Amino acid sequence: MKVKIKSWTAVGTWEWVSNDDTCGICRMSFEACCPDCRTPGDDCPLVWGECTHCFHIHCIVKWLQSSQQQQLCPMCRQEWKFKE
Amino acid sequence: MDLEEAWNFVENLLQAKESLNLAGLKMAVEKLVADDLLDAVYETLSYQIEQSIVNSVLPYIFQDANCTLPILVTKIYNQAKSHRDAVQPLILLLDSLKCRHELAEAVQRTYRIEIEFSHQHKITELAEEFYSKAYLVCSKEMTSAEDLEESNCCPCELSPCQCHLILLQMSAITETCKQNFLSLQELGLFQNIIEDVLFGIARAKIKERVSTTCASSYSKTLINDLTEWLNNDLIGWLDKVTVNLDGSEILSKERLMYYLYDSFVKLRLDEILPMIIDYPDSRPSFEDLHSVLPQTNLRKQLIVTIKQVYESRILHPGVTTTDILTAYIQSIQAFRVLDPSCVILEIVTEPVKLYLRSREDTVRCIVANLIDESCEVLSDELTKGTSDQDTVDEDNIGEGWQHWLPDPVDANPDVSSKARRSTDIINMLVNIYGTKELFIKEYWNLLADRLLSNLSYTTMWEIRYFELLKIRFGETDLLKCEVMLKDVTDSKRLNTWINEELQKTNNELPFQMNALMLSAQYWPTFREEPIELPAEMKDALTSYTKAYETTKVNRTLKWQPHIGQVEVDIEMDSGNTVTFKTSPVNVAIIMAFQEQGMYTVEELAEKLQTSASVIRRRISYWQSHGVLKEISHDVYELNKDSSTSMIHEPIEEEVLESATASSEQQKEQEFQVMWSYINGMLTNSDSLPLERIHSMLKIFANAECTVHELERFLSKKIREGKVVCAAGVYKLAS
Repeated sequence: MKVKIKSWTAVGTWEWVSNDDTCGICRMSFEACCPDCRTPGDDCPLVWGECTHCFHIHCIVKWLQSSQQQQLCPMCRQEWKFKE
Repeated sequence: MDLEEAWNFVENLLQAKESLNLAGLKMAVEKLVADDLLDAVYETLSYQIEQSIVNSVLPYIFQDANCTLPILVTKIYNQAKSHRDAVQPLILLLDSLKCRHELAEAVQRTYRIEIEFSHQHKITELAEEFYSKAYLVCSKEMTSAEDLEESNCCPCELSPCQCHLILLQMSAITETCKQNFLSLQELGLFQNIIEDVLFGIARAKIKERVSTTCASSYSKTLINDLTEWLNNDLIGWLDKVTVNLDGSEILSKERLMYYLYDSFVKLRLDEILPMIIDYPDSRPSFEDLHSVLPQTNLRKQLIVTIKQVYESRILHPGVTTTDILTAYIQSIQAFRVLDPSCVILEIVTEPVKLYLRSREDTVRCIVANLIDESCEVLSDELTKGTSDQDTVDEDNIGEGWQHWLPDPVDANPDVSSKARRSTDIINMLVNIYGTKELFIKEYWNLLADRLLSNLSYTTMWEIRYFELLKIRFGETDLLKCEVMLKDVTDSKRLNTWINEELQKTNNELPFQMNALMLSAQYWPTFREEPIELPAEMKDALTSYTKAYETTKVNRTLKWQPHIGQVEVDIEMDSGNTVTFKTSPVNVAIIMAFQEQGMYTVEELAEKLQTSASVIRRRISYWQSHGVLKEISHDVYELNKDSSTSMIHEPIEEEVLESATASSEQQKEQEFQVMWSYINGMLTNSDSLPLERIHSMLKIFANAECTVHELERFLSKKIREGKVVCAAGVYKLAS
């Protein structure tokens, strides 16, 4: 007997490759979106800082805009720099 | 003339035994008056009159067994008349002497009382017989006078035919009535006997007419026909057989009309369930009921009957939820016609709602019906959208103020009349549960199932219904569903892109690979079914994941290997090739048999790293298609004898199983989250009663569970030995 696969429609879920599950700012899962967005993924991506912490881009941008002085990572208080 | 002579003379006269002798009478009466004996004479005489009527006259009249009503009436009348005639001169004489007497009344009263008390039965019987025949003849005559003679089905049912005779008799009694009406009325015969008989016949005829014209025919409005019939035929007949002297109607038309409506509604009450089931066709009947019901006294009975019918015919375990829902939807539409204020609807559907609430699959059925194009009513209703176009408030009645009616007394005062009238079917269905959340959740589950069993990237149809539901329930509650639909359309685009990439990089897969890439947070929890896929399939997944990772930086894919569909060609040793479309798990199983012809269930479970129960459940698929056979308990091998049961056609998997976890499994997971809260609580405060745990969970974990569910969960934990319960308080097991 021989079995030959002709086509396959598979189902999977996508997830972010990160060392944490939830955004430290909005406390939502990374796979969900920040409170201001409606749809996750491409519309509400993650960004990593040089300190290796990551957040929803909208969350961290909002955080950085609200703090007047230095731009600090809300988790480790190091200076925030976007990881290239 | 001495006293005795005078006495006898008057006595004979009163008993109508002797012809009148005015001079003698005068002498006799003067003698009696002179001796002041008139009162005594009068008393004795009236007693004797009574006796003679009771003992001889009436028995003589009624002794004839074959007597008919006209003869009887004539006889009675003649007797009464002769008595009256005989007494008349005496009355005149006594009047002229200005003596007190009640002779005329005495004669009449005796007749009336005697007939009523002793012979009413007989006379009623005769009257009934006569008038029923008269009615048949008369209605026959009205419909087809010329056919009467040759007609085979003669209404009098006598042989030889006596129709013409009855016709004659009828006109005779009409004549008799006409002639004697006054005296009959004076005797009180008409009022007490004939009227009852006539009304009885009229009622029977109305009932008969209603049941012959209306029984099990709902598709046209009949009440006008019935009223017309009553006005023309029945009243016409009554006019024929009775005499109307003072211009008043003999039988009140209102009374007959009332009886007609009453019979009609009662008939419809017996048929209310078939009418509901027939609904759009039976609409005219409900319109009839609507116009007639206020004129009868049956509203309460209607409500009670409908409730009983529901309870005995619909609301029991033998009826499927879909059928109950259909009946419910039909009822909503039908009772709207019957009672535009919707109060009846509200009252009678209360038990249906309660019952539906107790069934587990209600919401699922509603949602399935709602987005199923074959269920027209609900789909139409959904397409119509919300009915908020008339936003007139209660005080501003506007145009039709002349026709405004207050709500019936049994209306629930908490609900405004406006709200009651404006709720549409979908609202009523959603309101079975009081809130729309449950409803939306079920739609969410159902949508996930539909998308995952469809797997074709075409979401046009789903989007159409989704948009309609969005109008009705609002965007925010349906956000998850929106993301789900977006996932599918996005996957389509991304899948094309990834396939192109794979081709470009010469990384082409041995077969066509498509994928749905879903946002896990927005889908229901997937059913767990661990499986180790064959190397060929795993490689395909890995290459696909790599291609994905290059396209979407920092993201990866986590596969749900048991969901999805694989199309495989199986080339049997006999040379036959069969195409199957089935689940990846099934493919993994059959591919294992490529390496080795025979497995026990345990071996296979170990090889595929899954449980034996999964294997047993799945392997029956191949067994039923004749690819594998069970040679002994739990041992399977390839079916070499392929000609016997192999099906030589492409086979699609018939049983669509839900890809998502069942609601119980989901609940279970919610409880697992709550367990950490409960654990914390019990660690901090040593022991807590059930209600306290429940209320604290509500505050801290925002839990939506009932006390009962929590109790069940906790008793499970007791069995697991994590918690102990003593004296109504729960403690962590030490």
